[in-house]
Amino acid sequence: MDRKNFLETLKKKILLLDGGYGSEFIKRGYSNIPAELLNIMHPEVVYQLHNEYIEAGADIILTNTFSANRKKLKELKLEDDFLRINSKAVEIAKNAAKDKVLVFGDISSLGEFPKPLGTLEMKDAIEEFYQQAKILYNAGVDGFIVETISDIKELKAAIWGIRKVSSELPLIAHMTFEKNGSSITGTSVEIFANVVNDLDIDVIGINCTLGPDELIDVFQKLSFSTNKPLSVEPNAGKPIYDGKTIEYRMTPEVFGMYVEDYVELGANIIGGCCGTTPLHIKVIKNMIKNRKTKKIYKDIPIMYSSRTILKKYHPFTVIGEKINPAGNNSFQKEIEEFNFEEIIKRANSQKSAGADALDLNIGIEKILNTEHIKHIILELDKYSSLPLSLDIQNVDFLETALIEYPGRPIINSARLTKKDLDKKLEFIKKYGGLLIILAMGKDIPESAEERFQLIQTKWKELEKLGFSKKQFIVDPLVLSVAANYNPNITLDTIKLLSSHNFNTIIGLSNLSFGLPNRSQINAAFLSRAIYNGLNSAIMNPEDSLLMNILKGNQLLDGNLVIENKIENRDKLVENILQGNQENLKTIIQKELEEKEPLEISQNILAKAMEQIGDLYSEGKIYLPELLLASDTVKPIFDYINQFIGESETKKAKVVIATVEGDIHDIGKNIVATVLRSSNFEVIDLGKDVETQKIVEAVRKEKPQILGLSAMMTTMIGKIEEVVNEVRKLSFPVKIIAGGASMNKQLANNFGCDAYAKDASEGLKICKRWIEEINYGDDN
Amino acid sequence: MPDVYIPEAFEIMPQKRFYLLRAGFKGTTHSINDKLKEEINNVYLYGLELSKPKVVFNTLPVDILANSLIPHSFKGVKLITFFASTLGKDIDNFISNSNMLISTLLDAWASEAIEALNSTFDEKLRKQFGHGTRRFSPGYDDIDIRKNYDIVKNLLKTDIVTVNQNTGIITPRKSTICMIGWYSG
Repeated sequence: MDRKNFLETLKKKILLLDGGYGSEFIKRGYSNIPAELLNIMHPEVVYQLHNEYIEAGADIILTNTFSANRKKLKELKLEDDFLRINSKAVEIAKNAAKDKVLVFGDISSLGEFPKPLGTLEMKDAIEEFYQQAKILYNAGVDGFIVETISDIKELKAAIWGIRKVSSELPLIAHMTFEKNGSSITGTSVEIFANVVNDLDIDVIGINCTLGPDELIDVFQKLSFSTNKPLSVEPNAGKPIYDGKTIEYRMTPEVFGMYVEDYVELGANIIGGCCGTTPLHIKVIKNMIKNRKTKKIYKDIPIMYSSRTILKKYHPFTVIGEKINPAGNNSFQKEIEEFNFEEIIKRANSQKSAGADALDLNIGIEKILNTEHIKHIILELDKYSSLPLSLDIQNVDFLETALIEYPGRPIINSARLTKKDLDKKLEFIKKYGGLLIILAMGKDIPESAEERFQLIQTKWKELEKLGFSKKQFIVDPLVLSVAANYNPNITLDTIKLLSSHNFNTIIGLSNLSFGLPNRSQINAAFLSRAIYNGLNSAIMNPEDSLLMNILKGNQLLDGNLVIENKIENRDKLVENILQGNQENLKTIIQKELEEKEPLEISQNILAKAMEQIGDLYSEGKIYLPELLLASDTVKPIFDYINQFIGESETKKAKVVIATVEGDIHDIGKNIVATVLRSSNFEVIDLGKDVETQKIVEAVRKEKPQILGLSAMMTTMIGKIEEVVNEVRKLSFPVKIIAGGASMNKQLANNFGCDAYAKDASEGLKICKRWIEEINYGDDN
Repeated sequence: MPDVYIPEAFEIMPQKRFYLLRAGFKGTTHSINDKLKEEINNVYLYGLELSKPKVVFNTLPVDILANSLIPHSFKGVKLITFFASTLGKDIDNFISNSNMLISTLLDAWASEAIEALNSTFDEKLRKQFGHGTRRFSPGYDDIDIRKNYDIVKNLLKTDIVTVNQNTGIITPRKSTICMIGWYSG
């Protein structure tokens, strides 16, 4: 089925996806074989389950290829079977479908995030997805679904990889979110929609992590953030382990009760994820019967985003201009030498000053290469930067930036020449973004009327190509008054553009280039431009006169300024959160003049990290911000600890590992980082660690705490095995467990001392234990 | 001979929009506050938990039936299936002993649940008997509601429901008596 027909079908009826595969295979006695391997070892089992889903009423079945990407198969030493596993999966599904239902190729995470949250290069991630999609496509799938993705860059890589194979087949793109509406990497469901709304996909959706009762609030946020067709696959509640088997206990009936809530919110496709069975699908079928999709039109404001920050373009967007090394030799040299400290510093100071976005204008492009651009984008992403305006002239550099950028950028800019505009249009179609178009072709028209007419003429062509005004911002052009430019031409152009609903932007500082008292001239012009309808400016947010004039205008227009979320925080916490190591060190050195190093370590630094941990727990900062804080504070701890005796410096020793058979270690790594940042000595044994190796490490290292992680439901039994073996040592070690498949009850059943749902909770528990141990020692 | 059908739980699950409409909510669920949404869902689950759904049915040739039991609109049918359906008495007890909000919601839910059950059973019969009349209950059109008593006592011979001979009212409250005529023998 081609995309057009698929979308037409979705307008007419709600389609039913199938349910869980991995959890169902385990229930059917195949817990010791990777689910994907069943395609070649026991194809009849896969066929049977497909058949049951079809009989239950599924309109779309998914190939049993969720973890059959080359990277994951390699981890399982099955890379030689990559082609066979994937093509056989399609063959089995097609045999079951008998052309009566659709077969979608199922693709999910590679098990490792692209940089900066992981170590994968984006080009490699795209290639991995491309390779899997190619096999599925050649074997004859009717479409693709990407699901259970928690990193927005990985999702982009999957979409681009798949679209490299085919632009004709339907593509459903899913991410997975926590109850608070954010993914574990800090991207909110609204940002997910903001980014994916631009991309070449057909249906946007969410799946996994939560049952239908908890997922509904996340789905509502998604629904109100997009006009694309929607899909959803909740889990059958949370996994429960009774000592022998894992069960998802939400009955089909309870699951079914929520189905209509999704229909009311505009769901076009509904299915089930972990723990759902053919009976769940049968009940969903019964509940939706022949209901048509509920059409809900949403007027979605123009927004742009970084990984963790979403901003509305209206009423006014301040784009900070200071990441621009023009005329600053040392800044230029630093960039050339891959030293991006000044960029980060300027990003942070502009953020604090109230910028909404940052213009990235490297200027010295001739002496740079794509690696520079890539690293700048990665660094800014790592530091939870504001959204970027990519002011990049070289198209290869711009494309690199677009590939690496996690959010929806502003692209600055395109001239109205065929070559330049065509290229930039191609970019926004493929990579998304809000494109600034300049009111000029080869030359700048002289009058306001001519500039406006040029835009109007071009707009008619763009409209015919299917573009919306919401995808563009028009720059009416500001030239220097010092060169006898009449500023009223720009002001009149803004007025004409605004009266025709074009979004507008100016590069404010150009006006006063070469003049004295620039701030006053810029402020006066900004005020007049806003009065004429201007929506955004690339300007200096650290110029208080400008910012006050802007605030005054916003007050007069009845637009309130949104508070910065990190205002009013402790100076120390603020510096840690912003990754400002130099300031942090200065503060600590000052403290050292009056206080003992131990006191500073335990009562000041550790307390600040505690506050940051609390901010994370409360959802006020995101995971990347927490990780940045950990990176920032660690060298400061090291610095201060050199003044303290070894025995006093470290809080306690923690041995940490992902258990045997489980190759997932993202969560475990996060926990290790967070613990280290709080001055624990962490011995990380890695992933897929044999029980005996863990026991040996406990015997040798004598840690106070042992941390165990398991993500795969099939592997959590190993945690119990480790606990039993470690307990035989009769050594007083506290054991804490975590991971996607674990929960409190399981941890109790296994004999662990605690369960932690995330790194922040794990840290709190470990600290509490150490306090108890120390208190016990004192007595 | 009368027979019994015990439905699966999902076969009595009403569509939420109908449940809400019957409970007095107009429009979409968007305007319902979170606390109330929770109550609505809780009641849905109570309903499923409390229901003990059962159907007793009997299909008979029309020529052995008293004319007073055959609706005018059933002209030309050869067989009639009579059935009594119920959600059981626990729902009634819960409705009687709950606060107004819960009672109102559960009453609405149960009314839609019995309708869902009847629809499910109706579909099953049609698969077996083919072309038939629309589903009919005494008290409508030309059949006296008190005929419920005769149907239950003489044709269905069941005690899953009780009919007041004088009023035709059935207990438990969430029960119905229905009939469908079939045009082929």
